[in-house]
Amino acid sequence: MANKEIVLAKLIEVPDREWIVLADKCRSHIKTKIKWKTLFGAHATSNLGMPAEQYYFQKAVEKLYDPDGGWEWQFEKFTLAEQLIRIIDSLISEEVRKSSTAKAKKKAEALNIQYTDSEILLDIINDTPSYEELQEREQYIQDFVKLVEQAIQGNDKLELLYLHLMDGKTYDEIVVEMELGSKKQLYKLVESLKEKVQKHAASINSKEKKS
Amino acid sequence: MSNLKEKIDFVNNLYGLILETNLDKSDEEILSKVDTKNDPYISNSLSFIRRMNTQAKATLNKSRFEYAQKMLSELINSAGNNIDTFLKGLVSEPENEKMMAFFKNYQSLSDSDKKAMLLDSKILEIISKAKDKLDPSSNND
Repeated sequence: MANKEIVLAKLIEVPDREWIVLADKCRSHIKTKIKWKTLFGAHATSNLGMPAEQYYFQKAVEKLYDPDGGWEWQFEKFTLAEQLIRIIDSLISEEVRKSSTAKAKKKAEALNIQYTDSEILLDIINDTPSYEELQEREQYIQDFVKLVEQAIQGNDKLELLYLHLMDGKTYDEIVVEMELGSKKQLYKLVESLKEKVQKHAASINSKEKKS
Repeated sequence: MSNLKEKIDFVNNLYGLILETNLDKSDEEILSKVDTKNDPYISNSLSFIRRMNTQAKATLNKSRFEYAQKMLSELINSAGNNIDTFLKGLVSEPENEKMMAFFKNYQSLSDSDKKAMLLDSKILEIISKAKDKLDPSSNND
């Protein structure tokens, strides 16, 4: 049996229960990733024809099942979740690249400049955001950090985590410095930070609606 | 007061950690939170995967059939004019009963029956054994 057939046989055996877990993990990953890319890159999801998380998940699954699609599940090296995430990351990057190239081409057309491919690439690298774009992003960052600061106020552990992340410490360094014992504990702290921020944001929203 | 670069690094680091945290969640934790029946993303994903599985099964069947066909024609070619003697030799062994029945009936089968038989994993195993018997040095892969 060829390797691709072994992969297909393995994929067919994956139970629905496991696919539900995989689909949910991929959804969280795509949402987080897209949010960040949209903020700092030219990520267009409007042309995908369906919600971004659905599009990227299905596209990744399709690549995995396609015997000639160029992506083969290296099941000895990666779990199915890891392999799917790798494909998704590559698909998102490709989408960003396409979108950036289109943006550069549009700019060139507007300026009536004949660009070669390498010049377009150079333009993407040097493509600094406009003042308005920077201002918009800066405002988002300022607002988000303020929201986090308010949400975790009074919680010593989360405040310490916030400072370490601000200092650019690696996740392993944070585990050691905060004496968390394992990364699993760090993940729990992140979950708790997420919940607090979400709760705080929801309470601000409801107050704004009332007023 | 932290500057903008530090804030950007913070948000960037936090996003990285959130990505890792998402992946680390246990199956039980996820299954207890996901509403599989009323979540369109999940139901769409599952029906998409079922479609992929159907296509994958068809692909696998096709390649198994082609493989069995190739093995069978290799077996017949290797035996050449001695196919009768070879088959008679196999009759004497009781474990080859099914194999004999298969060869005896093969010519009279319709194309669809031949296809169905060749997809039977037991038959594939039998052909492979017969081929080994005829030429132990041959490689069935």
